Amino acid sequence: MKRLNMNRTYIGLIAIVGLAGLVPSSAFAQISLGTAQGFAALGGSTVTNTGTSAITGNVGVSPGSSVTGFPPGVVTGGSIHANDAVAGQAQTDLTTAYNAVAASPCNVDLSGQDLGGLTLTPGVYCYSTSAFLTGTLRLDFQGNPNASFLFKIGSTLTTASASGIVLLNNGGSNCPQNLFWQVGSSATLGTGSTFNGNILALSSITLTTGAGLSGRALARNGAVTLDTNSVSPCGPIIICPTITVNPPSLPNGVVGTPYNQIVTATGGAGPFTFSISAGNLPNGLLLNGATGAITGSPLAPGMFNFTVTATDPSGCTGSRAYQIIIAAIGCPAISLSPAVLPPGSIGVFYSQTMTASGGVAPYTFTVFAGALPTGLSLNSITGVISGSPQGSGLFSFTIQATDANGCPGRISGVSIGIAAIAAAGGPTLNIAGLTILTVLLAVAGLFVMKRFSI
Amino acid sequence: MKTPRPLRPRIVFVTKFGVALIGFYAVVALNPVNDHVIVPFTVLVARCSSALLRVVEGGVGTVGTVMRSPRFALDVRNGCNGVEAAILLAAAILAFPASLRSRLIGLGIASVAIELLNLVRLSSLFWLGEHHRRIFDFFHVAVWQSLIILAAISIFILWSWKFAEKPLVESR
Repeated sequence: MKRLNMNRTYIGLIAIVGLAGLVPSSAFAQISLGTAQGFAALGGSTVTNTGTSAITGNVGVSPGSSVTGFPPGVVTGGSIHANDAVAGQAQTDLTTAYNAVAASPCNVDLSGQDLGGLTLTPGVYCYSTSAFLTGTLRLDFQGNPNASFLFKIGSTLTTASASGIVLLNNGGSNCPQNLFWQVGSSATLGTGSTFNGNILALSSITLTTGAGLSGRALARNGAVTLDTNSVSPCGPIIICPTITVNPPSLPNGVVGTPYNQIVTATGGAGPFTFSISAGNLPNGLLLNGATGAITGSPLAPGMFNFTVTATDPSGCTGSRAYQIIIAAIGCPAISLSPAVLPPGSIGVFYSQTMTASGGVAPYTFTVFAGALPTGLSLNSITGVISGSPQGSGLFSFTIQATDANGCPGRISGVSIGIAAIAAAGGPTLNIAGLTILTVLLAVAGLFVMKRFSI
Repeated sequence: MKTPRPLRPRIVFVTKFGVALIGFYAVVALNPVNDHVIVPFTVLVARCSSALLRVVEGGVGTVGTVMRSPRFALDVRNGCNGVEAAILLAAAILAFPASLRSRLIGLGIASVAIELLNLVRLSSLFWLGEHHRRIFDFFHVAVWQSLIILAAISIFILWSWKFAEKPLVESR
């Protein structure tokens, strides 16, 4: 009898563990769209609209630049961002969100099943390839309107004509904020269908005639194509400002020497939180997420590339890439000059010399970041920037000098303005002017002579 | 048949004017003169024009005969330096019947005035090129040529009026 009770206990435990594996869990990280939250439609190549689509929120494209069909399409509560900084940042944030969904572990694999006719509770659902919706998909929020549904689809998402999603037990809200569709290639919403959630597609998103989307159509690389649709994002639409992280560059450091610099952010509503979103700080340095202070004592020499991202309370972000060179102990501070170079002009030979000091000669010069004006080159031995500029504009770059012991020094923000026009100053008097003046002088002389009877 | 007396000085003036013009142009056309006088003078004109422009606007510099800023560049070439206009005026002054002293005074005043005016011309044209590119050519071809011609004629008439060698009959 006792043995029987123990078996029942084991069976019960196994059943609980098993159920825990089968029932989707909603205990996964919340997905943040960052600045992409302000976009109802965001494309990678183009956004094309036909008919009187009604879009609530921003419409944007990046790195492409073509947004067409507005009007007759109408954008309210936002504006059109064609390959501007806002759209670029939104694409960056979209990629982050896309990857976050893609990294979420699956609770249930629905591969091969039609979404139509299913009733699902919050969780992470996966399709290894394509997903289809024919008929009605029911999503049961179980009384929590903020519950999360993540759908990870390996390739395409296609909904049939007149298909739709019904939201159950969601407190009356018809607009779930945490419903994401991560689509490995393209999504197509059928004619007259209704759909909910944020579609994060690697390629394109097509809303065929009359399809309605309570959510966002966010395509990373391809086009967003609309045809007489309504697209209305759920949740607050935050129009993110452009957040700038400063300073533009950080000074280099030396192993064992305390380092203390502060990065700040402007453009959004503070307070900001700071994080390293890419790369790594030099070993021994830490970024204070609240203050933006980078402090510590570098432990090893080297070149360190990293990106600092500032996030405001609304989730809007701004980033800046930095590079810090940590010199070995004994490396002196090497400085370069001049910080300002005179302007040049197209076709006019240009020559300026960068000099380095503070280290052990000879120095080797390189363009560390940015680019010289087309037609100019830097002599690595002499530091002479010379040549005939071929294009106009303002060219900013960073020059690095490395001394005989391998100790580096840099100067950033060096710029050369190249004038677009090298106009030849016309003659003071052209042939006609010279002829006229010659005649007039002769006539004037004769006139004066006559006046005085000479 | 001799040429009537009142006509002779006028023919002499026109002839001297023509000869002086040809002589001046021949000298200026010599390569050594061009290389060692005209080109350095043109460089000086470009530098002075840039300096004049920097009174009202920074960021203008010169490289050789090129005035330049990040937005515009102007190459001051032979013919843009005011030398030809000064030569015309100088030829007229030398040809005109006046004392040597008067002629030297005239040459000095005329040359300086024309060159100063040319500095203003180049500075203003550069400024127009930077800020009002559309009207640059109009000022370049029409306005400043007219002003230079007007200035040269005015200088010559004023000078000749004051310094002409008046015949005794005039004072009777």
